[in-house]
Amino acid sequence: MDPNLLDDKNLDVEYRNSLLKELGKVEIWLSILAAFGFIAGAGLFFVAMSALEDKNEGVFLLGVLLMGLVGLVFYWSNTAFKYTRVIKWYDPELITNRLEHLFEDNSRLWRATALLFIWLFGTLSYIIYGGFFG
Amino acid sequence: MEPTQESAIAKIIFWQRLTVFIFTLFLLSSWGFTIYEINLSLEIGYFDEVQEQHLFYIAFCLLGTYVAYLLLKSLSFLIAYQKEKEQLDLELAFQKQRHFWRVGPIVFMLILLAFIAMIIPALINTYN
Repeated sequence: MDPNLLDDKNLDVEYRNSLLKELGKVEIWLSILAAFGFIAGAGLFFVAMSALEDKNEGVFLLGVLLMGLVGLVFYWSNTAFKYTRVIKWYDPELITNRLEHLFEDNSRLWRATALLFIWLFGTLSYIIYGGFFG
Repeated sequence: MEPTQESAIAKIIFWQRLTVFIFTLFLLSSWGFTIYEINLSLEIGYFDEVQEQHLFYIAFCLLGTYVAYLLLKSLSFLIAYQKEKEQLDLELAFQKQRHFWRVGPIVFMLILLAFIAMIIPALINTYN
């Protein structure tokens, strides 16, 4: 039997390496989503601008909500893009770039996601119950 | 203040929990809307043919349910890591997160395909 299999330190390094591989795999999907986010944000901006020019108060409020959504979509895309860079250049040997920093960036991504979902849900509810759709 | 692994994990859990809550609300509304639409079609006897829009709604809701499942699994693995400090839980949590982010581009593609599927017949009708 390989004595190294019983070595806790060895197992820890093995787990850590597989965790880093797992963390690295998300980069491609987040890059695609960040690109989609920048495009969708630009598209939404023009929709929001046309709604803001409307004289109807309800449509104007929708424009304000959409403008908030544009800001959050850009914020999310920017956070996702930064997270992909952090994953790409992650080096566990550097003291300034440890795993907790990577987790901190991951928490920022989830913060942006939660805020985007809250705003999106609110905007969709306003669109549906406000009678703008259907 | 210098971040620690525990504080960062606690923050991820907090924001992910909020995301799960909002997403579940959205999902329940979507299922409710789909069931309401199907019920309405059945009541007015408008269900002789398979309604494409209903199939689309059901596919959307099923995909949403899968996404919610991934989020919940990721969250439960993170909570387990916070309690037990098992590296494997952390790895599985990030694996579920990766699967969650992977669904995003698929949803975008589906929406794009549905949009194209709506636009092409309209264009054909216009030019005929």
